[in-house]
Amino acid sequence: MSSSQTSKSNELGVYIVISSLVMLFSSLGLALLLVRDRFSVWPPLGSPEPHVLFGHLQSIAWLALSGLAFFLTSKKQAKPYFTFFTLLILVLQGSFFYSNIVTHFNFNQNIFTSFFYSLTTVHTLFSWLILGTLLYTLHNKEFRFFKTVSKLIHFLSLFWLFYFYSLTIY
Amino acid sequence: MGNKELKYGLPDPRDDQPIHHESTSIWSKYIISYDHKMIAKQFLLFGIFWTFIGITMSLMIRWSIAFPGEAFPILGNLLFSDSNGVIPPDTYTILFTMHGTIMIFFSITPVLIGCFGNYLIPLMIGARDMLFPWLNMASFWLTFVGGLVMFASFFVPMGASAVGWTSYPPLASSPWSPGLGHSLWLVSLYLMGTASIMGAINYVATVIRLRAPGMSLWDMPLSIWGLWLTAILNALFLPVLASGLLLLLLDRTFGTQFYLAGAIAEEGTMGDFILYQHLFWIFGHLEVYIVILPAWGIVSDLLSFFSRKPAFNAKGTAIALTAISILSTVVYGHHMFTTNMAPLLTSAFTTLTLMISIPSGVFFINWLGTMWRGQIHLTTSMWFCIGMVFTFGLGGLTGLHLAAVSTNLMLHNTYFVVGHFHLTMASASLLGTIAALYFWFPKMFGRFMSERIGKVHFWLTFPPLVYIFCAQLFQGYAGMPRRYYHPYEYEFMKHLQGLNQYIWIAAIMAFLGLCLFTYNIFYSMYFGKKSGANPWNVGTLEWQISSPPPVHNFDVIPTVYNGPHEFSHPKQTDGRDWIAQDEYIEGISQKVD
Repeated sequence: MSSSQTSKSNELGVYIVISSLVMLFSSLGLALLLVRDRFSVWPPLGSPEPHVLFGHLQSIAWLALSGLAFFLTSKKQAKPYFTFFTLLILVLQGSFFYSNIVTHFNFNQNIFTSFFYSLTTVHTLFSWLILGTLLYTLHNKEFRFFKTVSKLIHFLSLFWLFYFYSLTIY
Repeated sequence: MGNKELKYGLPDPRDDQPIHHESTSIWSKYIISYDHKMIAKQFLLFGIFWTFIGITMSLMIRWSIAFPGEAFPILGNLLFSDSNGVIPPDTYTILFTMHGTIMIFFSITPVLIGCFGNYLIPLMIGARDMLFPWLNMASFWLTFVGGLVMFASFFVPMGASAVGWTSYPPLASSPWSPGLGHSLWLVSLYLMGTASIMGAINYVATVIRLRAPGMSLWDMPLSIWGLWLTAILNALFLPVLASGLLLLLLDRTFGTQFYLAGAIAEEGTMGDFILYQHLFWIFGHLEVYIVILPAWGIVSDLLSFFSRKPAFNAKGTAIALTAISILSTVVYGHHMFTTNMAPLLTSAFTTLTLMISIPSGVFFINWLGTMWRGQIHLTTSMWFCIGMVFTFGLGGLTGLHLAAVSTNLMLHNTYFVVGHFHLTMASASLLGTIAALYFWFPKMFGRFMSERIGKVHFWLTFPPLVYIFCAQLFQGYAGMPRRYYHPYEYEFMKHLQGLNQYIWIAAIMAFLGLCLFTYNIFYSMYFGKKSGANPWNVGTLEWQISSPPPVHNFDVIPTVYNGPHEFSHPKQTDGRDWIAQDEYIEGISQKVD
């Protein structure tokens, strides 16, 4: 296939992946809503208070990274800003987990911590996968695919921002 | 040629599809093959292997219910030597769990969706391969690894999963199902699910991007409609199952409390095991349609081919398949009527579920309309198609009892449910799959399957299947619950033992039919009668090239001028009763820009 057709095909493939991931996160969101519905106070009484600042900042960094990709026109432009945001996200991720781990916030304390830790971990693993894919596409000079994957992140970051907010709202 | 764009913004597939060259090494030709036809055959072999395991398990289940306390014939002393050949209760629970899991995820799915999806989609839409061949290859091997993990789970301490294929917590949580078996079950389904999503991405994108010039969605064969809709449902709803399984796996391995409730969880912080049922059945009910949509599509095509008539209201069938796909996403609640659901919600789910009978009725009537006054050719494939129509009719009608909340509450968890879903998603899918294999075998291997053996196979399969599952409907109506090891310890079920013994005999007949079928497949691969390119005289694109097709399928990407069911056209004068999709006949065919 010609590169433009390949790129369009890849883009379609990415949109289908997005649909699958949206359904994955939506069903996890549905799970959260169904459980929360049973509690008059959320998080349940006695739950530890999570440190969410770094989590929110991380989501905003993701949004900025993916949003800026819409305006980029070349790999050369993409490289420095990609490097900057990748480092920023990794630092924020580390800070997020460290700040929560030092408060002895763990998986199996109760239903709230189960949700909080599991879902943020799933999101983290997913974001590493995306960062790896972005790095790969940049390295292989597939700039159009880089932009396509960025759209995926953008959409999911918006989704996650809402989700993370609803996960931790009191 | 340039990259000109056709209408709908689709690329012209003639320009861009590379021609594969045949691999010369065994490794790249048979193992890590990117060729969709070889991957389809890999899925077929994988499915046949697991079908034998799954069906053997069902024989053990039937034996255990028909003759409780007696040694299982032939294999009993080998497998259950500690209990003198008698199937013990804990093994019985493993058997029904793994039978359901294997037949759904490792038998029907790989053969019907993996094999026929891979084989037919590119050939029937006029493409040289799938859009993402690498992803296709990875999908099979991930499925294979999923199978290995499931196989390994039989050999871990405390055995394989024994919680039912639905894997409901709290039974599936670690306090009640300790050991590695069920965790491996979850991991295996995760791998299978990921592989299915990879396949689905390919199917959906290939149909959108690589249809031959001139082929609108309405010109696609109904088999492709069925496979395409299935792929869409898989891509969208397998992640929902994945989320439910993920939370269960976390509960089991990291001690989270998503589904833990009652005494095991701390007061005020407990999870909710009903949550799992929601996540499971949103996908679980769809799975019925996922495995039967391709069979519906295939049978819709084959009935037309063997009646030598255009498919009656083919567009209506395509719309009905689509309507069912949409409706099926919002009806899962009828599996949960007994979970203290709000009355308004039960009414809604009842209504929505009953609405599915409308599009089902449409294509059922279309099938009858296709056969009506046709020149019916009673090949083995056609016999199985007619069998599928009959069993699906029975399954569909019994589904109405389970859709309505009033009867559902009475029949919940009885053998009525077992009979119903075996008639629909098991028998109907199975018969459709077998019909497809008899029909496309000449295309896959260049040889016919034996028609004589095929007819014997049909009469060893169809009547026993109908008998077994209709008998189960009666048992369920008599109140016999599913999954009981020794039902006759209860006085009110004692009179059902005789019926269960007849079911055992019917099951043995069906098993002999399966053995004959498998023999027919492997014998015909090498010694079957050579078929030629288009032995059935059918107009769809795959039959316009040699059998088996070359690696790159089409030397020149075809242009489509006709629908897939052009038979007995009154204006046709050349003595044939069929028109190929890529054949232009003045006054009959549509012109393509």
